[in-house]
Amino acid sequence: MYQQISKLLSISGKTVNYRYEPYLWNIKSAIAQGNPYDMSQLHHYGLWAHKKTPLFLDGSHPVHDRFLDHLFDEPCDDKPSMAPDAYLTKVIRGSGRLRSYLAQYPDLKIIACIRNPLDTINSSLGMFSFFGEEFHADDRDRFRDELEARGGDVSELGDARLSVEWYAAWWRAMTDETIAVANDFPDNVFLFCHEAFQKDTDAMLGKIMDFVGIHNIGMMSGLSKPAGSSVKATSLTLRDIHKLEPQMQHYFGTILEDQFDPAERKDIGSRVLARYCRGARFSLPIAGGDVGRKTPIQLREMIMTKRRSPFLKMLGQQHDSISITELRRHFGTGIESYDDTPELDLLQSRQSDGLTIGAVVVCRNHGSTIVQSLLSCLNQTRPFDEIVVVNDRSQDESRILIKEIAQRYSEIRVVDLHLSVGEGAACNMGVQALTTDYFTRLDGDEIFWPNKNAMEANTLADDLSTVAHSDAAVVDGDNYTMRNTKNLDGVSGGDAWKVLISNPAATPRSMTLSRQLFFDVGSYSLTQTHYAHWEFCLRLAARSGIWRRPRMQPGVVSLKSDRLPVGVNEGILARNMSQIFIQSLKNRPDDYDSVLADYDALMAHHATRHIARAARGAIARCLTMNGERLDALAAHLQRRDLNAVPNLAYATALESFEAHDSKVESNA
Amino acid sequence: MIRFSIITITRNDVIGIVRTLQSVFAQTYQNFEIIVQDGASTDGTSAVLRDFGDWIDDLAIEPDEGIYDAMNKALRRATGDYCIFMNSSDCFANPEVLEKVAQRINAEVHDIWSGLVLDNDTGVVHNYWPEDEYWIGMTFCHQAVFIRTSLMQALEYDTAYRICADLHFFGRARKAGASFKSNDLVISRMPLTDGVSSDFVDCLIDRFDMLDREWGDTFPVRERITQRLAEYLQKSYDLPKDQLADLSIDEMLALHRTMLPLQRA
Repeated sequence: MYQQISKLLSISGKTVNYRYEPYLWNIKSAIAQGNPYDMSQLHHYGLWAHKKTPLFLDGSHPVHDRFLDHLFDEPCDDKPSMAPDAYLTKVIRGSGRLRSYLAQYPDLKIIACIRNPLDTINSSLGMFSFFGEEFHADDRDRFRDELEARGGDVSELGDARLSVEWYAAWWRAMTDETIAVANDFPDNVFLFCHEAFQKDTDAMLGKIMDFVGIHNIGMMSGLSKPAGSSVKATSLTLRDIHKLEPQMQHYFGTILEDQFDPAERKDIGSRVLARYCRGARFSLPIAGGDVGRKTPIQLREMIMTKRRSPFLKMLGQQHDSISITELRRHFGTGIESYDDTPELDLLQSRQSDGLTIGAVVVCRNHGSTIVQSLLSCLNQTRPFDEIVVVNDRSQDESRILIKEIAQRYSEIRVVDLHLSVGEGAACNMGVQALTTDYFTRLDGDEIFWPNKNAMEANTLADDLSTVAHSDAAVVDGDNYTMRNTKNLDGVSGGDAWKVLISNPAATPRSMTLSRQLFFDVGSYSLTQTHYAHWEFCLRLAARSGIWRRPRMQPGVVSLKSDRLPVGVNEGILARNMSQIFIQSLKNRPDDYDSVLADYDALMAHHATRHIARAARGAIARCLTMNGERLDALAAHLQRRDLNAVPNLAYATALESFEAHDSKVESNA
Repeated sequence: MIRFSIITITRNDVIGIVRTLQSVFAQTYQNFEIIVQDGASTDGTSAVLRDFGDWIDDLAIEPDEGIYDAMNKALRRATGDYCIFMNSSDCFANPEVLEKVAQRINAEVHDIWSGLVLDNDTGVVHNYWPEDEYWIGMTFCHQAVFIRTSLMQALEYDTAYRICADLHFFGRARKAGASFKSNDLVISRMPLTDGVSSDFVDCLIDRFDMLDREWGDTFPVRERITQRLAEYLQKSYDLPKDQLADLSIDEMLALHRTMLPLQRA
């Protein structure tokens, strides 16, 4: 638009002083293209004037008045002895100061652009949009203060200073002010509505020419309809889109009332939503990046000079959500029909079932996948109410990546452990930090399916004893495996226990349960080194209600082939499994007929090991006494002095327990 | 067979206490008792401790008058041959530590047996004062020293010293004729920038009066402290050597108080 107006002025033979985004750039050119837009072009006077001037200004201000003179009252740039015929400026950061412009220059003509919040804010988060500088990180505090002084709602403006809530407040305040000024000064302000321009380009261009008083047919061909409408990439997660729903309601429900009828507004709004929710490539927001230290301009310069930082490395990685098409191709009919379009109706408020659900993400040296994991939490069709990331003292770039993401999403809280305590204890701390009714857990090398939270939430039915679970897709290079949990679908806790006791692999990786139930069960063991999740689920099954699987689809996608630890002595694994089995027998719901069969099924891989045979012998001995000694056996093995002894000593402890029984029996 | 008393002091440190106890319970040598003194935590630490059940031999949850008071309270309940203070966030370097110490320690001879500490962040062995300069500072870290329990209980920590009560204790132990043995075995890892005594100047000054009183007649305590403080200030503030040459300790402290805020700004 700036370039088109400059052409109109040029064609009409006028000498013009040009000022392109003067609060930021020192560019006195009719054409925006071709400039480097780097540090050398920064307008230090404009930056200073911007910082010294309130964001909202109605009248005179000593610094700003002189700045306006720089825009509209200086001699001709090319011929300082003359005054130009016209002044043309394109302004960003000025929406709140339009009244002061008109107060000082009452003849000024202003073309004020408005556009829907999704497009506007998405643009401001991006890399090559200078609109990213419109709401600069430095302006956060005074924007909040000024907005509050004007009676605006600042309750959403918290510590996540790069979050979309801040951009939403800025968009709303500046858009409302623009419209108010347009209403108050109808002869001076032309409201350029982007959506109206899309609807009837020629009509809009004709009105602009009427407004500026210069007509030329070339205007019709120079600015085409597609300008600015395509969304090549989105930096908005589904979580952000949910957050922007009130702004979308305001724009399409109120602001565009005069421009479109209700059906048109609903149609346009839905198409805007669809562009962001269906298939747009995701690109991490760059605005304020590198832990807030660098501007987009500096970051762009770093990219061009191939300098690296963890943030730039993060930007360069692929962060698209999992390819549903790809997974369907591999699993065929293994996945039920999945509709990946979130169910958003622009003009209806979101239903609330009253359930609050949080996610705990445990990260330990998952620098290559943690961003994808967190994005999968943020791209849920049903947003999580809280997300706690527990960094278990990672030694790679995880910490800085987590911090970068947490700045942008207000529901993310970070628990940074100064000592590594293991994933079980780390998860406990994460669940403790949540305040939601229910929670789910994700490891830093896993990704949630986009509708996992919605599906599992629907299954819970507000029953605190229910355990919702889903299948797990395992992707390891070219190998795709589906670990389904159908054997746990619709079963009671007791029956779930029977499924799990002989098969750790049946343990669901994707679960949602109540925090209260988690604590009642005793949370994760702080000393269990292997199979901690299986051990927890056995205790959970003993106390829970129904286990429900919402549908045949994965809840998580795991990016490694197996949860079993690598390089661990198999004897240790056998010991852990047998110990957990024995400890869990006290939760056995019925008789002991199948105990040994369950044990044999569990320990099939380790059957010939000394420790496995010793444990079996001890169990068998207890069973001949009607299982009365099983509790004593479990207590015997849970002694602290057996915790770290070598396997041989542990096996001896098992055998001595058995011998003790034999001695008691023979004495009797 | 030597029996160890592992004494752990904690308050409002869930993460640290979990890590410390994990390292204790992982020890392959099991002839020990673990005594935990929790200063009435308010952040859930106490609940975590209770969850460990009988894996903790002796747990007391009660207010105290500071860390050394807490250590004395726990110490009085110790029944092992040797005790070691492994406070929350400190942890044994590996599961074989107690086993190796038990092999190396001579219970008939050694009253105070010390090993090495690694910085938890860098993994580097932490340096202390040379053994023959015990009159100026710690020659080892209390997280790496095993003390004969009877000796420890006889002397206890003097709680009048907020930071250097441990140094004061070892001084009294020397005067009581205790035998000291150092070893190059790595005992523990600890976060060396945390804790009560992390500020160098505070540490130096806290101990100065005590050291001067205990050892000033026998060793050049004042001169050495003055020299050490000058070295520290010269390095920290990039000062020329001669600027500090004639300054007293009090004058150097005044200079430090003036320059520290400027440096931080």
